[in-house]
Amino acid sequence: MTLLTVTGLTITGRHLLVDDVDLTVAAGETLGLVGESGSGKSLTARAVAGLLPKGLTATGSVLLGDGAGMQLIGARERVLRSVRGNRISLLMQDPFTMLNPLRTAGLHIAESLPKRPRGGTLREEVVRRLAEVGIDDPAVADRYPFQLSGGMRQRVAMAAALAGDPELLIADEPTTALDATTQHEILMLLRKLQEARGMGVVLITHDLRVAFELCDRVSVMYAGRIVERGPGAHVAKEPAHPYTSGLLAALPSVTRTLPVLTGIPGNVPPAAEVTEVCAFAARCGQATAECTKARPVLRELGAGRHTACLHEVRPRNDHAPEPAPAVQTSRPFFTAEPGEPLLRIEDLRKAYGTHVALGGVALEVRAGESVGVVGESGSGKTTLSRCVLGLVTPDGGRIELAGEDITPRGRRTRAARAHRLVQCVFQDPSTSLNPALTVGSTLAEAAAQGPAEGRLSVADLLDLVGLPAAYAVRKPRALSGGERQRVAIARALAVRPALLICDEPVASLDVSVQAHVLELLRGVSRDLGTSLLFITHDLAVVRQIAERMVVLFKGAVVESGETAGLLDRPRHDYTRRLVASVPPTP
Amino acid sequence: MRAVLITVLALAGLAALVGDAVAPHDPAAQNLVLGAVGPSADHWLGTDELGRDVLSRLLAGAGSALFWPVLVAVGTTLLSTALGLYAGYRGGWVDSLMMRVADLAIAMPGMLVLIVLVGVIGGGYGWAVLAMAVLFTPGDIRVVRSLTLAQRQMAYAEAAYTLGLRPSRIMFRHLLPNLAPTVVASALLSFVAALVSLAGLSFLGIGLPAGTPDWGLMIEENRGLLDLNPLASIAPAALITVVASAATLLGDRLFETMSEGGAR
Repeated sequence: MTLLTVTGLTITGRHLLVDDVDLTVAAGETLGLVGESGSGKSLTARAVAGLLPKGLTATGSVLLGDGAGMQLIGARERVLRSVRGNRISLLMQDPFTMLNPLRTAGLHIAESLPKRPRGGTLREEVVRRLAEVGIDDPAVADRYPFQLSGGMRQRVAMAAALAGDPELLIADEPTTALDATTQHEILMLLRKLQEARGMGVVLITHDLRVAFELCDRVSVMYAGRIVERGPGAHVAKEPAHPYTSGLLAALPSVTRTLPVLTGIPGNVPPAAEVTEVCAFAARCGQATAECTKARPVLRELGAGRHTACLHEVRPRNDHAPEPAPAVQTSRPFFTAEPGEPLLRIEDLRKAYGTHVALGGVALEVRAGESVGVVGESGSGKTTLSRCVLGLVTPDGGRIELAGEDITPRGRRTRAARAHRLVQCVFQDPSTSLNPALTVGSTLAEAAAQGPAEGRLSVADLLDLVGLPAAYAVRKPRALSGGERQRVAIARALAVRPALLICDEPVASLDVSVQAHVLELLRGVSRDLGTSLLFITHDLAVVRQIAERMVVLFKGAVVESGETAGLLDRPRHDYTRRLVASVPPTP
Repeated sequence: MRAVLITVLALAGLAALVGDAVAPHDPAAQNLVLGAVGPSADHWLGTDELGRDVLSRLLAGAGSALFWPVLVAVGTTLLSTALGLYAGYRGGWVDSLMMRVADLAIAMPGMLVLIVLVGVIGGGYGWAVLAMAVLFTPGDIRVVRSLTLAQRQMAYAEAAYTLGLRPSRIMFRHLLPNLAPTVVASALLSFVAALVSLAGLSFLGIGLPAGTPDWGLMIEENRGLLDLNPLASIAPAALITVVASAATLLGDRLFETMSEGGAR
């Protein structure tokens, strides 16, 4: 039975955003909507629920129900209100802002329940709904959102979304903000509920591995349109569109270290600029003149497979990827005898009130080595990096860098030479560059902080990270996320530090861009001899970049060793759980 | 819309600069025989009780009506930005001390303090303007400080610290440009508050000697003439309203464009 039929959905704001999208969802089926940021996947879902932001208009048809169905495009707000929650429910990304902080978990669920609960009191019904999402403790109903962990909040939100017994659940990146182990639990719960209720689910995600693990059918979106669709397992095995194939090639793997990480060159074009051509042609290795003559339609390949590509997609491993260009400069970088200890952390302790962030951590990084620090939120990995950077004063312990004691003592005090030894690349590309300064002045300022002898120019620095020299006059807002992160790396390298701390540098980037940045960081380590301390929650990423790794759990190192060996044969319970929670890489 | 606002403020500024010179009559020249009459070809906005030309007095008064509020706004903005940035960046006891002093100042009934101060000391607007700048500053310090606290935690500010830049450089080169939209908007709001407060003081007869061409004073002096020449008091009141509204709206718009333009 068809639940939802979307035909020719087009969303326009100041520009075209979503271009002619067709979707169908049947009862008991999970449809994955996959794409990178800006592909229009979230807008599509919002249009289905009649929740487009102000200023955007949708045309086309969204039919709810079998047969004639109910047209939702252009429906009155009153009609949409009766549909939302009862027939279509939404589950959003952020469990921190999705629940009202002034209302208890039970109230959230109770207010969405149908008017008359089937037998029993309201309270019993709420407890039953909590049990359905795996919360067996009835006391949770009386807790406020801030008293619950991220995973619990997402469960409560799910119970609230399901309270009206909808036929269709739209889950927009429901696990992106959660830790790996929690993420896995929530996804399994979603699948269980979907099977038990026979509900249709639209799962929106940027994570291909999640989509392929969970979805019956997958639609891949790019620049506002669908470029490929088909059964999840098929698409994963034999992508029929070069974009999908490129995304799959860019995925880092937790089970093997790839010699070269290949991203997709270039950036996603605005949907409005590619209406009459293949949207991917400009970035495609297989593009021919045909591709830019007319817009390729979604052609059928049989067995529910469709692709918007004119060509047969070359298998991924057909051609050996070209090795990444070396990261080169004529200027000398900090050099120490490889293998000499560079950073030595002993018994580092830090507590915030009663919460112990670091409970005596020891760590060593040798010259030229890259070491991964892996842990979930609250494991203390960021506090560790901030102590080394002098942004946090530890309660006890010692940090030694290149033979110098750089332990921060007192508020924001720092050893005078520390900034020439250690630099950092921060996580969020949207705040890591000063929006008021041009790229050039940011880099020039950073370079001036390094030793005067052999100082790198702005052009040298941009060249080092693979950006054209013309970028010097740009402001950060004119750069894409990946480009900003490259500039941030150039800024950190400007003083030619001995140690580069990378605090989740690719966590906010799209997969295709992530590969480029990771490859650049590998080059920095390989060609410049800079040591890396790489902080991440992502085991697949750490596998690609770190020779050695440590696993942090609740402020203590629970396991350490060579990355490959550790990930293939985890010994500690917690590490095993972490490894098991990573969805398989297709 | 922005063009209209800027034109209004530019005209007001022009009147403040050359108002005396372009006034059709001597603003102080009395014509007791004529007395208060309505608009005519000779007197576009009519005359007041002493037969003085209302338009000329408005033009002559523009200078003092606008100059002092601008002085207050500039003083308040410079002081509050410097102190707010320092308190927010430095933190610790310096911050606590400054915030407690600010609390104290905010708790004082500002207008009352002004009336008493100017009433007792006398001597024109000088003291009132100084007192006003001091009274307005604490609120703005709080705004700048809280924005500084937020910006200081941004990755770019931490990167600047990690690079070993001097605190003054981090504050003025990195943080300040990102506070600019709010600083500019709040400077315009200070101007408006000072414009209205000073007009209020003159209306109460505090600050300026009687007979000075001043917008606030004109409303007070001519409010008895509503039947003979209503424009004599309505025109200055309207001018204050128009200039204050234009400045407020312009502040709003500038904040939006500057926020979009770069710093967020």
